[in-house]
Amino acid sequence: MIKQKLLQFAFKNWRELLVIFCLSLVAIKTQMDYRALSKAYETSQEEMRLQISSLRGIHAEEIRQREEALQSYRAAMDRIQQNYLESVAELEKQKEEATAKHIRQFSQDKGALGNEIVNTYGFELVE
Amino acid sequence: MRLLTLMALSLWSNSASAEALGQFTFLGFNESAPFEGILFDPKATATILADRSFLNSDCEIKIKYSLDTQTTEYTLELKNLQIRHDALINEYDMRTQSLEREADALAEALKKQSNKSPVLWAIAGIAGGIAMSYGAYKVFNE
Repeated sequence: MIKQKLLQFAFKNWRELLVIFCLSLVAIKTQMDYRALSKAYETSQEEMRLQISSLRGIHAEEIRQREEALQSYRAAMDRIQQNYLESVAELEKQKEEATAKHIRQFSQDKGALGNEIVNTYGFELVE
Repeated sequence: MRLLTLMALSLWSNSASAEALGQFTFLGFNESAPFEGILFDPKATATILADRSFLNSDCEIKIKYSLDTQTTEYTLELKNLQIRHDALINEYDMRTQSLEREADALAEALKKQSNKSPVLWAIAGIAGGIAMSYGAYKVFNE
């Protein structure tokens, strides 16, 4: 009974039903296109998120390595400075010892002191 | 005991030995010098001698310090450049891989949308459009 009524209705309004069917087809196709576009947009967005995350990681690693290099540089500079100061102090000590030796030579061994002057500067010893 | 010991180094001698590098002598207290000149006491003389003896060592220490400092600075600079270079390579690789993945995903999505025989579908679409237009014309002109 209902089936018969539906068939009657369909035969009576087939044009309108055809238009509705076509419109539905267009709507479904539009929806499918929209979903495809949406999926493409999501894919781009996801990749962009991944890129940002990876960039942050790379940047953090770069900063860590730079910090490490800077610490290494500071340690090396400290070591160089320390070595320099030690060398200067050692040289100063040697100079003081040499000065004391020359002062002693003046009173104990003038000949050696004279030779030292001659050898160092090439001056002539006048008696 | 001598309280004052003197030494003379001649800097501007007018004597016959003016061509020589210089002269010096040892003097006792109140002794007169055999030439005119400048007098240094033993401490000053010893300092001059010691300074001259250690001049090379002094220069070597300063040169070593400067070279070491420069080496360390350039090493840091080089290391920073190397780090930047590595970071840029990583960034480049990451971007390339990401773009490849994105392109693959979009291509896959496009493949699902694309028809396998677009010419056939175009012909069918045109034919269908003409048929529907004709049908609609006939139907709505009744």
